[in-house]
Amino acid sequence: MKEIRICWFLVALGFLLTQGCTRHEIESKHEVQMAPIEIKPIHITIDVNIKVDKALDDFFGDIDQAATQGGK
Amino acid sequence: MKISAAGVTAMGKQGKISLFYLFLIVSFVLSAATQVLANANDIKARMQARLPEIGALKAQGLVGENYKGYLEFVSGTTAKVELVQAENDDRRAVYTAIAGQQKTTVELVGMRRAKQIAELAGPGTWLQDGGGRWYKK
Repeated sequence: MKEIRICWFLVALGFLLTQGCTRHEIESKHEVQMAPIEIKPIHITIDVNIKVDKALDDFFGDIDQAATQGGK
Repeated sequence: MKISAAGVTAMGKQGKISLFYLFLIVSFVLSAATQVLANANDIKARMQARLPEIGALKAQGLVGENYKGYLEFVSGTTAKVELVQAENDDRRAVYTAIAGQQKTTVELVGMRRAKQIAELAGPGTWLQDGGGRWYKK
């Protein structure tokens, strides 16, 4: 009788142990959202004003000088 | 490869024709450039000739320099309209030429010129700021 008990005990223990050995998988997804990369066109700003000023100076230089001397 | 005598003559003729066209094109370009220079010199001469009269109009406070690079009557009096008109026409021609050269607008060139004029203007000259308000320098 005692042996039967021990046998049942071992069966129960085996059952519990096998049940305890379960696999627990936690699936976690980490999504890192990337902002869309915006490629801005490189605007090369050529300073037109400087070029225009130079052209104006070239043309009006003499006239301005005469006007300044004569009292504009 | 054999080239017949007729072929050589034809090639020579073609060469002469293309040389003739090249000469024509070069002449045209040169004459156009000379014309532009002559025009620029004419405008300059006219502007210099007008200086004393325009100076007098400014000194009297009749005309001022607006922010667009042109002369404008400040007071109600419109004396010597033709003179002012002629000056503005010549200025516009210069601004247009420079705008063409620099690939920009005539308005921008005029406004840049207005800045230069404002800097060079003598005391008492009527000037217009960017907002259109007249003030005496």
